[in-house]
Amino acid sequence: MNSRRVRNIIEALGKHKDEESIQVLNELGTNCPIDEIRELTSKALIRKNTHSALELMIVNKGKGINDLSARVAMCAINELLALKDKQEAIKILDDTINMHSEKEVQDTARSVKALMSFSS
Amino acid sequence: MQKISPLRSSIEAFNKFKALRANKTDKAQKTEQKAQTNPFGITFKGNMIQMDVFEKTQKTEKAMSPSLKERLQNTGKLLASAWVGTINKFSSFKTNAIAFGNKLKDNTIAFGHKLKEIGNTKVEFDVFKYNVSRLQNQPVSELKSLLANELQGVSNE
Repeated sequence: MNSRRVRNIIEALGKHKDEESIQVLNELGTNCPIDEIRELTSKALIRKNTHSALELMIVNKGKGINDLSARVAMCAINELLALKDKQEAIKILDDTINMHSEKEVQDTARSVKALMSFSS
Repeated sequence: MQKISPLRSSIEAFNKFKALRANKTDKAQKTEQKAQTNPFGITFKGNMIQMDVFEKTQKTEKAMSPSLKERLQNTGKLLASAWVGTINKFSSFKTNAIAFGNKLKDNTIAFGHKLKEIGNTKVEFDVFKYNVSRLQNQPVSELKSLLANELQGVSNE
């Protein structure tokens, strides 16, 4: 694997305007067994700052802020905190806290929301 | 007492001298025949050249002739050594030429292998191909296939 190539491709998919790029990142990036790839994918998806991309990173268990790897999860949280426009992210976090079936996911979303409210 | 005239006495003395000389020459001839050292009757200041004289000459001849032989031998040796040297030079030149030829052959073969290897490996100037701004303009399906190929390599590893 050429990590530079993979990084560039993921970054290009993150910057791509086509909505299909989110599906590709979800399919190939977030399901990758390598932490580095998942980390890069979560960064790319959060930077998109679209509803579907942020939903993937916040709501799904084992992805984004709910990743089993603390490094990947922390990276996703940092990326959320670094967003200029946090409105969409906070909305999804609120929905997750209120409506998600998994308590663990709700707790994580609550913590992240708290961090975001402190940072903004 | 008979009176001897000076003329007669002189004639007698001459005869005696002649007889003595004849004797002497006979002896000398005999010695010559015995020794056979001077068959041509070579004289030196009126005396027959004796054997010792010829011995000396023989010695000198001996002294001279080996030198010639030696010279000839030496020249022969010199020629032989020169020939051997030339043979050695040629043989060394030959071995060097063979070694050089073999080296050239090996280098050519190695170069050929390298070329083959280069031909087999993909030389991709991916500095431009995998540039983010360039990739961004490509369709998602192509990016998907690229990413899948890269991650396929990871799963195989």
